[in-house]
Amino acid sequence: MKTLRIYIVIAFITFCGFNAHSQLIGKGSNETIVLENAEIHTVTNGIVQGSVWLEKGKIKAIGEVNAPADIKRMNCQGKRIYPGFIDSGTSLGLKEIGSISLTQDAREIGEFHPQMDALTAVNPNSILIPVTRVNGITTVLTVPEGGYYSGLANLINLWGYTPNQMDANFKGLVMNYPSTGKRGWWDRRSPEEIKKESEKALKKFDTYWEKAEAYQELYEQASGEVVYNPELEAMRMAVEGKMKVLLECNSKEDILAAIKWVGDKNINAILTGVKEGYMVADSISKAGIPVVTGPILAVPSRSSESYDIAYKNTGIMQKAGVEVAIRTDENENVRNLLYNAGFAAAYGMGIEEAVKAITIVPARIFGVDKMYGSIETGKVANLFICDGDPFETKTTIEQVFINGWKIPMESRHTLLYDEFLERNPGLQNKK
Amino acid sequence: MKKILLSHIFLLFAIALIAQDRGNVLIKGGTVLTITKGVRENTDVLIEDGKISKIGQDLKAKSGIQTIDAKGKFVMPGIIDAHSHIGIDAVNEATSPVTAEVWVGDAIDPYDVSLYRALAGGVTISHAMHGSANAIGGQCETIKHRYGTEDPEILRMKDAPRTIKFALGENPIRVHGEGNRITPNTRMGVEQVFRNAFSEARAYRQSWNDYNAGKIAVAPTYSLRMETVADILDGKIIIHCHSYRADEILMLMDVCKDFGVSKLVFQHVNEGFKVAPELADFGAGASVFSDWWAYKFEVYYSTAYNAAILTKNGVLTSINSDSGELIRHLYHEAAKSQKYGDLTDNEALKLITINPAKQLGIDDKVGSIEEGKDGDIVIFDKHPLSIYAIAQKTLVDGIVEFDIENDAEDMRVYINPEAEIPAYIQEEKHDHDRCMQGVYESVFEGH
Amino acid sequence: MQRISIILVLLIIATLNAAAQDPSDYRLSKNLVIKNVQIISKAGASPILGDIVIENGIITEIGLSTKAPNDAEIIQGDSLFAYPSFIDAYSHTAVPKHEKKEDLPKVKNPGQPGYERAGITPNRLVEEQLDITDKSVEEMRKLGFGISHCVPRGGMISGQGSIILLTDKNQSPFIKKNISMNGSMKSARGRIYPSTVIGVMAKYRDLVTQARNSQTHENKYESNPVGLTRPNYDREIQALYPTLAGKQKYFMQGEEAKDIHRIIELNNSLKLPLVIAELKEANSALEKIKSNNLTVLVSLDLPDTIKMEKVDSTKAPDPKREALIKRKQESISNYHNNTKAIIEKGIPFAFSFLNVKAKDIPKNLEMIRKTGASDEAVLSALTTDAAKILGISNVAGSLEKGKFGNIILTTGLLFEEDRHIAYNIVEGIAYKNEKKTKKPTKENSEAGSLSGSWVLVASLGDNDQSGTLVLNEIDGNISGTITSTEGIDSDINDASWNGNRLSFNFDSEVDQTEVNMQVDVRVSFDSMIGTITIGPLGSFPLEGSKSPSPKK
Repeated sequence: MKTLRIYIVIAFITFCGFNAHSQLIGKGSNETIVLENAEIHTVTNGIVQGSVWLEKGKIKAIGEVNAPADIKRMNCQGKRIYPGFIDSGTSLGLKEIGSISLTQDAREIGEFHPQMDALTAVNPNSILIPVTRVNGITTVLTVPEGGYYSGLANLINLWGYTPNQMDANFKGLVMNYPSTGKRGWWDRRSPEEIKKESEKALKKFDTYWEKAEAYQELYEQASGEVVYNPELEAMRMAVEGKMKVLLECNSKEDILAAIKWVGDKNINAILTGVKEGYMVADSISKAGIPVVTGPILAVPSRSSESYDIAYKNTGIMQKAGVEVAIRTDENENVRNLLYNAGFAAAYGMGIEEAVKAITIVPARIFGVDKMYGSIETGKVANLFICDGDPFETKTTIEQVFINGWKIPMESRHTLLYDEFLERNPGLQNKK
Repeated sequence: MKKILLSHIFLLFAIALIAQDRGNVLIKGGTVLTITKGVRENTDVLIEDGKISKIGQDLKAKSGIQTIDAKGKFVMPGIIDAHSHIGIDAVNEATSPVTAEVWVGDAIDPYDVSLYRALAGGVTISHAMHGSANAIGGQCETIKHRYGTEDPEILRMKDAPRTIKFALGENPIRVHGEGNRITPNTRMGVEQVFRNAFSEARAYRQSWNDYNAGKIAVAPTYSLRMETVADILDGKIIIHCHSYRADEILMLMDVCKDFGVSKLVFQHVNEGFKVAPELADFGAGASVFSDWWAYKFEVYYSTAYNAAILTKNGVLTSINSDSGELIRHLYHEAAKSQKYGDLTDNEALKLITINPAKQLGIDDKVGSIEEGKDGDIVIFDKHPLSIYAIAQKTLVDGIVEFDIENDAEDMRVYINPEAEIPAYIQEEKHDHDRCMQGVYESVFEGH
Repeated sequence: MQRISIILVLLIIATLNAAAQDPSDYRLSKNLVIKNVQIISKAGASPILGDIVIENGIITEIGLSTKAPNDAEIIQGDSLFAYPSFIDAYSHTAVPKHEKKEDLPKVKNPGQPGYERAGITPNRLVEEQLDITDKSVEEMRKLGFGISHCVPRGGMISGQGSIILLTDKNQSPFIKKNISMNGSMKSARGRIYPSTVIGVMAKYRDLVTQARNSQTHENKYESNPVGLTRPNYDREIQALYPTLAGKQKYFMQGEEAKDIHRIIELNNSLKLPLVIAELKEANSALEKIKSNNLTVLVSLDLPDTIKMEKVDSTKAPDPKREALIKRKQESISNYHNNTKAIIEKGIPFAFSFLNVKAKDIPKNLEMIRKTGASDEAVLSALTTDAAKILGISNVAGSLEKGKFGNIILTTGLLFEEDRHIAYNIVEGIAYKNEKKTKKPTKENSEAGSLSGSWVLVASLGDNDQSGTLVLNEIDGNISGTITSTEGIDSDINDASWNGNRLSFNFDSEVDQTEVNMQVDVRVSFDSMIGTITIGPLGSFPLEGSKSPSPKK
């Protein structure tokens, strides 16, 4: 009897303990709901006071909505609603733990692997995803790395149990324009060596593109009856201009060279990185190529450059007429997208434009602005409710909706907080 | 452009001339965030001979003293970074699990432009640390950002106590166990490195005492390494220990208790929140990242609420940078403690001012705006915890070291005549392992 | 046994060969008289006409009516000037670099690599590395040097240096052996302790204290060993005793101001008899050097001035780049002004030659003079001051009775342009420097001058490309522009010219792509022939001829 009681007690403790220690995120719910009395930052149509009606994953109505009485309501008095923020360059879902290579799925072997499809390797259950989305980031571009033709980046929503559920309907070919910069402060190559190497690299880079062009012609001539070549097949759409090309280039010299490279081709290009865009903003603007830049919280790329130039870069490009979106180029801390945008806002871009750079601008650049990037009727219900300016650190993001799903506002970080703020048992002295 | 160049030359010249001096300046009418004595609106701060001499309303300065109008602005003590590696030429002497004898203060690099960039983010003092390759690494140096000098001595904060870097977990294991096949190869091994070193140093000191007392005829073989470890045991050096996991944090506290060592600050200490009651009980400090995690396995079970949990459990907590990038916006890193754990404004600001000062043993001189303390001040245009705040002026010892009105593009102190004109350098994507600087870079060298 | 005899035979053959190669050895005499020469006995002295007599390598007489031994070689000094030969206060002269890469075994415990692997070899004597037939000896001698303080190659404490005469004709080149202990901040190679500057500095503190204690221990043991632990008698540690006692100066390499600050700070605790060697830029450290009463050896390794690029009016001005170039130029001037600043501060100094290439020495001395350093100070640094620092003032540094017969005979005053060192006499042995016949390419020969306009033709497979090259040569510095037939101008870069070979490169557009082209040609009078390498396409033949220059 006594033992039985002990068992029960142990079982009870274990059960409670398990509950208390489970770092599992709760389930979401797909809701039809009216978010009432909110200050709605639509991004595309200014600020609207009123309600947002979500139904079947879409925004059904905005402002004064006539929803039937039986529909669930949430009072958002004093709150703001923003469209879900979009990070235009991350490795979220592809990488888990930085130093453990077996948890890294962003970088394939070799210099040319354009067929590598990021969506394939997105882990919907990455512990990093909830940590990100509770900060109001609903959508990210996840980007493969390495080589000159890295693979296919994919826009994903940060909710779903399969990659397909997360797919936000944009794929782009990631290419790294051969760099003439130094690889790091430890790079001791002379300018001549660098030049030589980059010329060699550029030749390879070019040759591969030409191959893909030839393949595409052949493909058309043979009406698709060609020998299986997954690399060139993956590039066919890009060569035709039907798939966007994300072309990474950062130094002033490389940006100009990349613009020139794009110039004489039928490419739908997006420049990414573009750290020294401020030096050649007019050239970028003139070329009419959109830009994804970031991280904003970065040091200048030359020792002789101004301390705050990375903060200012986005604003300078935007003012020169470049369509510019912001990325964190991060993984575990994609959540800092808000603050990257916040710094850009503080250093010349202004809040309104900075918000656009993480909402409607990337949606437009990626060609998904019919679905994402603003609070408009008919768009996907990706949005969040907060109690103030979301760039300010004091502001709380209270509720996030992705595809109309009410997301549990939990992550490993919040769960650990809940568990350990007042640890029980607390301090126990031995002896 | 010409104007910029001229002002730039003038500025460099000016900085070079005044680097060693102590300034006199009156900062008028700002909102003064004293940290230790509340927020004082519309208040003047007078700095004389590099020290804060008076705080109050309508202060009058002697004629000729520079006046800074801070109306509508926020005046706070210079930010202190308890963990960085800027301004030094060497970080890791990664060749032995114990290298207590080395001292990064020997390798101060006054040319590092990161110092200026830190000033531009309001940071006036940083704790230039040895890396984390060794269980007992080298001694660190607390430096004042007196940028513009070529003399390393000027950067030294001479009256700061000695500190030393310890390291637990993956880094020393990777370097020595995996790298060289010598202990430590496990967290068990790391413990024994400390126990061995402490025991050996105790014996070493004893034999010198015996020699000096005439009990033995021949002096023991001198070892700067053992001298240093013995100084730790004697409480002359504060331990700053790179740590992540809860178990290893507890281990070091146990070792320290066994050897009577009490001056202990944990660095990074990502799982500090799990043992916050024990840390508070020991009286150990914790200097944490605002939100870094998941870059290696030992930080996978972390939370950005760490600083808040520690603070609310009574642990002396600071937020550090460990990075030449982050050090430029520590005020923003501190602000994240409001997002992650709702700390009050003052609690958040303490994380980057008086608390790190206490952890470095310099809180009697800096870390708050109080009469008698050093004139290390930063003036922000908005409240420093706002994302939109931009530092306007940063003063060290009453000397304006950063002034946004007078900020030239190229702020290098020194140019190597044989180096090329600065080329674009790709920033390392994840700068998390600055602590391991000097250990792996040679892998990249030579392509 | 057999092995030994083979070695012996080899040695003998080698010696015979060496002797056979240079029959002049038999004629050598260390007795010499220079007649009727303008004598500048030391820096700052006015020329006095007279003879100099050298017997057995030593100056025995200076004056108007001298008596010379019968077998003395005679040099007619008419129209020549006699100066004391120069003294190199610090270098690796006669200490050749080991060519083969050492394939050292992996150290078991990188934290305790042992003294040698750590670069701590204070017991090493430069003698062990010395090769008096090394080409560096002749190179220095040609430039007027008679004496070198040569120091061993090695790590943080490389060993002991000696003073030698730059002549291989005598039995032994040494004047004074092991006068110096030499060190640097060099870390150990191959990831072993000390692998960083902080490790090196800690190691210095450790070693010096250990050596002091160890010496005390040895003394104690010597006076009464009863009941005492035996000393270690580490030879590395023991080798430091003379330095600790102040009998052997410690020459420490410190180039940048920041290194110098560090060394001085370190030595505040080590208290070694410090001389800072190979100093390049004292700048902010001047005051510290002065107040610590230090002697320095200034490196003659100076950075090149930046060739100012021509402003291309077609390109948009780049003020940013110009500002950067300007700052770099300032930094270079700082280096060049270093010596002058040291003179003005009154810091005792001589020159050191560890890193400078021999061919750059005259040019760099000239550069230092141009900054305003006086001729007297520069010459003193090369003679009397160097002698003083090395402790050989009584035998070298000036032309005086009883001193070494180390004399240079020049065709003009020392710092005059176009003067030539006709002889360098080292310990009475005269080395004649043949004056290089001027290449037929100097300005004085219009036909061979590079400057001017050239028409170039490159044979690119089936089509030829031509262009115009305008060259401008001033004192060996070459700039120029190349213009294609399409009228595209490109400045030439990295031009080098050795009197008959010219090479440079330039960037040009080919099919809207910037391509780097490298030109390599041999020039004779008014034609050039060679190759042009076009980016990745490869090399093609190139010929050029000079257009007649318009008369000015």
